[in-house]
Amino acid sequence: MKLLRALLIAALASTAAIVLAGVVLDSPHADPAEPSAGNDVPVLIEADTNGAIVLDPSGELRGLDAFGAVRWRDRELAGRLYVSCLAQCPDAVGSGSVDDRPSATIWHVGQARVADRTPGVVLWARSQHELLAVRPGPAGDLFEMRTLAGASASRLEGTDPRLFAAPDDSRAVLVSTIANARAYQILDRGSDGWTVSAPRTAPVESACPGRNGLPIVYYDPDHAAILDTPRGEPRELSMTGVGRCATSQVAVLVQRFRQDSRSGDHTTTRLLDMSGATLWERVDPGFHLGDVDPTGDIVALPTDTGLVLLGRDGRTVERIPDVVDARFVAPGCLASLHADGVLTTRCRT
Amino acid sequence: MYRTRLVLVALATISSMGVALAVASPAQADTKWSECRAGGDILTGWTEFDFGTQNTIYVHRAGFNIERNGGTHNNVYLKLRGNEGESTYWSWISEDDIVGGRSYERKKINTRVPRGAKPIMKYHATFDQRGADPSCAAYGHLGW
Repeated sequence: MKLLRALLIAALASTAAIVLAGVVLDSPHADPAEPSAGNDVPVLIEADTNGAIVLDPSGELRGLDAFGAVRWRDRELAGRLYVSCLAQCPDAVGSGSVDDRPSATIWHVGQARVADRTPGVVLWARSQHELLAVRPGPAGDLFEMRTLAGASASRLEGTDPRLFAAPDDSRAVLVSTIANARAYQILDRGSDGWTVSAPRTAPVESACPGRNGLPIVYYDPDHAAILDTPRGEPRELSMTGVGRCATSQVAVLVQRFRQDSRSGDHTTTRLLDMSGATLWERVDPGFHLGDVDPTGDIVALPTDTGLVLLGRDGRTVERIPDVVDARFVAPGCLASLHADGVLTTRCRT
Repeated sequence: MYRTRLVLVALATISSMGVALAVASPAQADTKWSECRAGGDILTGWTEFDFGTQNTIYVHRAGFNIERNGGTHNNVYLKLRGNEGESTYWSWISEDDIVGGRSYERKKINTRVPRGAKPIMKYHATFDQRGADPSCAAYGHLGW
């Protein structure tokens, strides 16, 4: 009888729990708390053969050398809009704020950290003496080009500038808004400094110049196009909604990132040949930035279950568990970030 | 016989409670998104974004749809937030005119957020129903 009474109490308690759970799940004012981090992992911000900048799950940026040793940590730097390596990772610069409030440009050079309060935003730099920046001027913003030979400044064409540099810093694409239309300018870096092309109106929000500066892929939410030469005519690519691209000498990687409250988060990854034809496409859960070998067509694609290396036909060449992010830092050389934050680099022999 | 039937009812009830709790669990810590249901209605939302610059997520566009509701006076707001809700980078609030069953899209959001801020899109609906209008919110992590 005691057992029966206990079961009856349990049943009544359970029924009450079901009713309460139902109220929580479908109440007149169901407003769940913001979701927490879940299975958060570190991500690569930038990497080269000398090291990397890593955003760790706590929201702190770390500079790692080629052996994976932590050279610096910086939480303030993680709040800057533009963070990139200087001539060698993990030397770094971070500049710009979301709300355009004045903020210091932060430099990490060797063991030194410098907070430079000169007004403006550094868009790209190899050092404090070789940079591209936007500075406020008496009659509008100025585009500053500082080289080892000297500095110059000219009136900035348009507003809302963003710069996308080639991995070898030989070329860059400056995107801005001119007369309510997006436009791009091609910047070439030579021994005497930078030369800047005239602006060209195009549907462009972001761009990815390849190693040696070519090809150049650019896109906005509704278009994607490829430039075979800096001043050539763009060829339209078939994919829309592009949120990232990477180029090699023989292939173009484009990715689309979509958060969806019905189907969850997913990344669509597509490899194109140089004509724009699709070689393969796949959809993976989660958000994962892929990369393509700069002289070939091997793709490194992190997934929720580890890194996969994919061949030209999209088949898995190799699967590396425990790797959460990866970048090709030279032809055939892949820098891999492991779940525990350790950085390793291996090169094809 | 009565005792056996009571035991079976109790076990079935305990079992169904387990199912109810299992339904609740996807909105907990292991998921990066949540659903939005209230009063039998559903709000679904989506956001597309760009990883173009190293440290920045560039949010392009977002959309939503109200299901199981044919009302013409639903209300929806979207908020792009970060730093655990301390920062709001972009928001949009509808008029009292959202029609159930239609797909809506907000283009040209064009807002940049540092990845370190761990941005979240909040989708909120107040459903047009007889009597008190129920409301709910869903969240989606952007890029993390």
